[in-house]
Amino acid sequence: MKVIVIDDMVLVREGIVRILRDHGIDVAAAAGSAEPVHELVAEHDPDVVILDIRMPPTFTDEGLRAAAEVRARRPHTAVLVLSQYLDAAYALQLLREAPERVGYLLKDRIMELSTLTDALRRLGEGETVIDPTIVTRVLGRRRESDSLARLTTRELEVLGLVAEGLSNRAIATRLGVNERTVESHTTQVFQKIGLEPSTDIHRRVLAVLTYLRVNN
Amino acid sequence: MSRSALARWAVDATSVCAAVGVLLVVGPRPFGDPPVGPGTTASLVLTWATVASALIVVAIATYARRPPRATGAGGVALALVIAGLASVDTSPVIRVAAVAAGAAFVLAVANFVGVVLETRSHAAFVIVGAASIVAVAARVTVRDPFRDLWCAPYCRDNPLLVAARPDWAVAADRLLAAVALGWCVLAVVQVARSRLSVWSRSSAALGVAAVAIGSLIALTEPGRTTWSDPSAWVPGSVPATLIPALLLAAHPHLQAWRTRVQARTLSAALADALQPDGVAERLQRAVNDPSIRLLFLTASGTYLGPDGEPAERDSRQAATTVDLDGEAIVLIEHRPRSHGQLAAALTPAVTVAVENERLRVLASAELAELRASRRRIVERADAARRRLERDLHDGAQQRLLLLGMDLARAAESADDDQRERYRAAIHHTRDALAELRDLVHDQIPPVLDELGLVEAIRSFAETSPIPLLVDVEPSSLHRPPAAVERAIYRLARSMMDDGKSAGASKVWIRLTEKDGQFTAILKHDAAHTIDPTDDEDRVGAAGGRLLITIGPDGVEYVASFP
Repeated sequence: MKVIVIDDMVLVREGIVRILRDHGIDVAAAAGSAEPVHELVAEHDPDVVILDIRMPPTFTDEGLRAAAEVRARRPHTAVLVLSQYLDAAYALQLLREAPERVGYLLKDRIMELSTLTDALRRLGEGETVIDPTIVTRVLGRRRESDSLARLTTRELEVLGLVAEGLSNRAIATRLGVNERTVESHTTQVFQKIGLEPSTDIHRRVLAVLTYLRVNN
Repeated sequence: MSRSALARWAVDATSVCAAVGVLLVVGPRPFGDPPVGPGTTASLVLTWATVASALIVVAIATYARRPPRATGAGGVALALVIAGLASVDTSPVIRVAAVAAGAAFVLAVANFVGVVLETRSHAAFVIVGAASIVAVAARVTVRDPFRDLWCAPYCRDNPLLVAARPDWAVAADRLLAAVALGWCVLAVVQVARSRLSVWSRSSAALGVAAVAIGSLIALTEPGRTTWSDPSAWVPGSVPATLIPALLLAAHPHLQAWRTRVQARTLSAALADALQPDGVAERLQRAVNDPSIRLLFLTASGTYLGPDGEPAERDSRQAATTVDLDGEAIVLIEHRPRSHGQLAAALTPAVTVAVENERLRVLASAELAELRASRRRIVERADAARRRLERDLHDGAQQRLLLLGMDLARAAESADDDQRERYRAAIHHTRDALAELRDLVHDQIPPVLDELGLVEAIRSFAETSPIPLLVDVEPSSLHRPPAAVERAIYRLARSMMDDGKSAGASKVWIRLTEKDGQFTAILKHDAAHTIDPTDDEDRVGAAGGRLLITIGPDGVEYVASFP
């Protein structure tokens, strides 16, 4: 797998590059700002571009914009945004602007090598990746009339994995059940919370996260 | 124009029309007597004297500016007009007079209706007024001059005649006589109640009575009075001797009227001066120098312009100062040649207006400065928070990340026992990062500046300790200015803190935007413990207004930003 790393903090960038290389991932290039990203992508044709969300010049959400542009220009290149922000708002913004093959992970995950490499693999396979901490946050939020109270524990678990961007097959593997069972669970869950069932991973992540976040 | 002003205009117009009509009709042809033969000159003088005295009574009552009295005056004038109409002839002058008299009648009716609506209690005026209208209307519609042997040779046709009923016409004449008498009695009462001296009052009353008797005689025997009959002399001769007395009686009233007019002019001028910058404009007009500018001296010796902003002295202009206790407080810039005129225009009243203007400008400048300083304090605090957030992100957070990465790499190549220790260290590092993130987020969350208020409040709801219900109307709410977003976000946090400590079950936030005005309604449902001072400061610094309702069922904030 070939990746490009873009992060404005030199030490962190070098650390990420070192870790990825330790795990046999080919880091084709690394840069300190989002500006040269298109040239680098054109030159190296990576499978995934890893971007810090907060970069020069404004140090706000440059990473999101660069991610959206890369996705728009190169449909087969995935992007993984690393962020310090736990707010689901940023992940939703990314999902809305960059269709499919996008990932949003907390930057802390670079301390868990398996999570990072797993995310890269999933992105390579065309899945969407949303940090489990963010999903847990919106799932666990206090609501006035909790429509989630009608879900069984297993259904809640499935809903969480759907929101993290897992495919039905990946959920089945994770839970140790077969894919048909997962399908029936997802149908049930979507019906209970009043969403249109969908097998398109990207669209259902967006729908579920929006629902969990906005619905009172 | 107010209703009372309208009534006054109607009364004035009534009096003027009545006076014209009476002079033209009654003057040359007293009570229908042909203007030939011995004694004509004397009769003219006496009749004009009668009319003049009646008009003075009218003037007294009218300028008393009380609608019932004014109507009384209008009624007296009306009675005299009717007396004139009784002697209609073919002269073109008389036609004009008839038109004027008709107009007076219409105005008198309108005035009467106005008085009835306005007072509803002066029964005597209402009764006499109504009788006047009925009598006049009856007389002009049923009296055919050609049925009257006396009038036939030289009277002209009655254009308003509906049906010739001589008997009704005589009855209408009688009613008119009674009405005229009634108005005179009312006029006497009004004069007697006025604050004139005893002598003036009795002479005025005598004059009115004389007019009444004259009217009565003229109306009960229309056309049949002649100068050989002494009764025709009475109405003229008595008032002629009383005219000077009546003039005296009217004098204090006329003077009071003049004073009132002056007071009105003055108050209008003062109201004008109270308009912002009205003083400078008035001076410009008075001196005819559009370059006149007022500069107000502050305690520190600098100048403020009329808008409260600091201003510079224009050295090309001449200047005159307005002093208070020997100290210059206002500098008036003007053209050098306006000096003399300006000095004359600076009367004590104008000086007071200039001083007031200075107080207003100083106060508004101070208020603006206070508002600006409150805004600056909040902005500075926000900037400090953001700097702290950035420093933490670029410094401590990155170092912790590096530490974590190194630990993770070390753990990979360590033996099982050491790996557990490394894992524990990584765990602590992650906790430290999480705490740092929360700390940063509690300042000004980046999501607020980057994605806006609605997203920030929804993010806040993700971790709120009690349910936070967010309602946004319209759903496509524009982003308010940054200061407003921060103020509302702070309100949300403080409402949540208060709701939590007071044991509320939930917190509501409703954001609305209408015509560019943003309103946030925030509430919780527990007894309050909130101290709203900080929140008021926040909202005020963002240029908004905070309304706080504290009740047993909870606390509600309504913050609106224009």
